[in-house]
Amino acid sequence: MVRKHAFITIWLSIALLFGGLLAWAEVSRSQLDDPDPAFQRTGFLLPEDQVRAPHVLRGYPRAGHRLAVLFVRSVGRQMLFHELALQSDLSALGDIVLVTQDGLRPSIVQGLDAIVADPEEAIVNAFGLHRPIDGGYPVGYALVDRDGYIRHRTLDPHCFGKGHNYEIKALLQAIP
Amino acid sequence: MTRASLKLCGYCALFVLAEVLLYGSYRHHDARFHWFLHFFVGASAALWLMALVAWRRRAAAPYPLLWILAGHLFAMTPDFLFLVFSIIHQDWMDVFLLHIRAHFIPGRNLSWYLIFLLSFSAYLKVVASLSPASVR
Repeated sequence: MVRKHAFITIWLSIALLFGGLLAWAEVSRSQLDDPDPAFQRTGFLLPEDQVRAPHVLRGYPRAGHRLAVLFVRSVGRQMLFHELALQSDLSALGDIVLVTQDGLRPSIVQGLDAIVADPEEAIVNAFGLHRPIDGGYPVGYALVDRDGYIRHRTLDPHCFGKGHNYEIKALLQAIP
Repeated sequence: MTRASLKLCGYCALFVLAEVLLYGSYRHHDARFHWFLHFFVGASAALWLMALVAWRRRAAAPYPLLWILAGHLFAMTPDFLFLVFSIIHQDWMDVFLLHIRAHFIPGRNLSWYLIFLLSFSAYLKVVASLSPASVR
């Protein structure tokens, strides 16, 4: 009987520990995260020839070129090489277009092929990025293959930090 | 504190340290979702396997935390492939305890939490049925 109670105590302790941790993880999510975390940073590509990239960026996507479209709310007063780290590596893999909600430009624009303002949110909506938890402008990116199809799109509020955008590079490299 | 107790503490501390390192490997704040997901999946598989082994051998499997860690590592394998070799996720990676599909289960991590608790119940039930001498 004592042994049975010990096992029940162990089970309850583990249930409470992990239940508490899981609840903490849920309530402490960033307001910029996808409401459904399963669709954030999936790490895989969308099927080819399925989701055509919209023509809402003047001149992009270019035929035969990959395209990375980075969506942010603002980059005003920011030094781009820190906030969009490794962009020079990315630019060797494809065209890089920065879309900002407020239209402000970063301090350094090297490595970017275009900077586009999206105050009406038409561009981000056309690319189909999810709305974050706070309902505001999505922060994330979309990747387009050489045939003009979207192969990856995700919210990722931390992808522009220094050393944090290795995922964009890996995914872009994997796109034909 | 006895030598056996110290050994047990060290064993548990190493497990916790390993899990903290696995958590850190995700780098981002949404590590919480991915860490919990693959932990619950890997641990559940390990618990069912340990329950099966204990039931067949009539003795508890030694070092249960190592089994759970191994299950977690196995479930996370595609994430290591991405992190270390930049190999992106593909459908065949479901061989690693449904690494891709596990993300999209209805109820998300709450469902995996309940499955984990169910697995833990099954494991404890099998272990409780063993004679005390066979449980280390």
